[in-house]
Amino acid sequence: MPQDYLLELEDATFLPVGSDGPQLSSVSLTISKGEHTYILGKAGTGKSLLVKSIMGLIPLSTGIYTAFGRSMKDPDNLTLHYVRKKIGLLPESGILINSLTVRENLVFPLKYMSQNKNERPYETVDRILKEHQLEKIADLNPYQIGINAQKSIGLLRALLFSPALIILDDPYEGLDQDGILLFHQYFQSLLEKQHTTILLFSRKPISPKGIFARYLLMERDQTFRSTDRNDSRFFTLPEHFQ
Amino acid sequence: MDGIFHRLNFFRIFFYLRDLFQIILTSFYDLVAILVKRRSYLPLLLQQILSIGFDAIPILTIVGLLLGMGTVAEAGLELPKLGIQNLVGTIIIHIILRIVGPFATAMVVIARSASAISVEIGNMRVSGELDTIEMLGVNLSFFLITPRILGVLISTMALTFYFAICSFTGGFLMGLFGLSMPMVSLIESLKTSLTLSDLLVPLMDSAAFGLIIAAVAVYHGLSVGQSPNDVPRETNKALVNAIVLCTLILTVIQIFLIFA
Repeated sequence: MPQDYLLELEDATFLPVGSDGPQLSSVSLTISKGEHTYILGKAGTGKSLLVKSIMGLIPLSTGIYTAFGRSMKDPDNLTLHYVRKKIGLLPESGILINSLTVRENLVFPLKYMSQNKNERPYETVDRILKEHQLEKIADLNPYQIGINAQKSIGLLRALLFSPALIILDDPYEGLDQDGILLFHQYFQSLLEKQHTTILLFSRKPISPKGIFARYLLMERDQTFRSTDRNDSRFFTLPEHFQ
Repeated sequence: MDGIFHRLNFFRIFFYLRDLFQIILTSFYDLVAILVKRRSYLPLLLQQILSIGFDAIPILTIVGLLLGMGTVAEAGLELPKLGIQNLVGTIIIHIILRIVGPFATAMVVIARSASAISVEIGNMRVSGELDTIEMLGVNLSFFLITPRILGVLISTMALTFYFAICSFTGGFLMGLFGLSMPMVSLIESLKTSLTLSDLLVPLMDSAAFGLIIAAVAVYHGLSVGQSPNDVPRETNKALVNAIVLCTLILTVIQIFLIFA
């Protein structure tokens, strides 16, 4: 596998444990370093299932799945921890933990995942909240804030460990225009840092200008068709929205 | 008839009990891991002990006082008729400390905490929070399951003795003001009847109840699927199964003590 491949799936089939639920079969996809990818797929094509499979939640049954150079066939806890720390995730549902406040939701991965004993999670989080002018909602629970704020907090949490790859599962779902604009600003700042590769799954064709290098259409049989941003299925937002 | 045989499928019962034991054993294994190398999870244990134990104190105080009063009133009125009033202390200890105390405490813990744990975990499953926690790389057992198992275990053991103290207080009050029993003779009677096994048996009972209640609640919380309708259904199952298993454990322990 070339060094710059972050993820490589080759004819991979994922089967949920002890479940006769939906499965992903024969998925072939590669994500290279720095190649920001926008995957557009209708509801029911298996986008969220693929995200869960990439994160090691659904076990690989057949085929090859390699993440950051490590095989994800029956991964041990160390491999899972390594891969999950390399990937920042904004899930489609259950973005934040409802029993925790916004501050605690951000502290959560730092406190329970970080190996750095000198790190002061609350100080780090308070600094981030101040930077993004979110101090006012720091002590509120997720159900007390809007979906824009929930997704922003989810995105900030995903970026806590400066991940090599950030996976966004339907980030535009439920966002209003301000929210979409804010997300595009976040993408722009990620682009400037040049460290994190973006992998975005969406059923909404809202593609910001000049960010994504690769556009894929996901079909119901989990095949991907490469396309360009001029494809009528992807549309560009009006100028004031960019 | 088919339904009855389906429910009494012994293989299902065996696998159910096996899963409960697996949850308990995994929790103890993870507790060692938390104590040795993941101490950041320790505050969660304390938080669970406080929320399960302290919050149950008001209801347990009332139930304990009333039950103690009722038991002593019944014993104080009926035993003299049989000429065995000197056995009041022994009977109170046996009924309150060894049988009713642990069982009544277990019922309160089931009503308050088993349902809460089952609903909490079930709702987290439906909303996708459990998947998120796992995908973030946080150990679900360290974060969610082990603190709850240990919290219920330690709380149930502590609450059982608190319940006994409340019951004895209620019994004394009833004996003193309701039945005009001489306080000194009641205390003397309790002192002579109390043995080490009277402290060990409730300890054993409450530990077994605590573990089984927590394991059942966690099991049914995790059994919730994607539908919100699963939450009340699994919670209902958790409560019923916890009551049945606690009754079974109480009976087995009592039979064991008779023959031991």
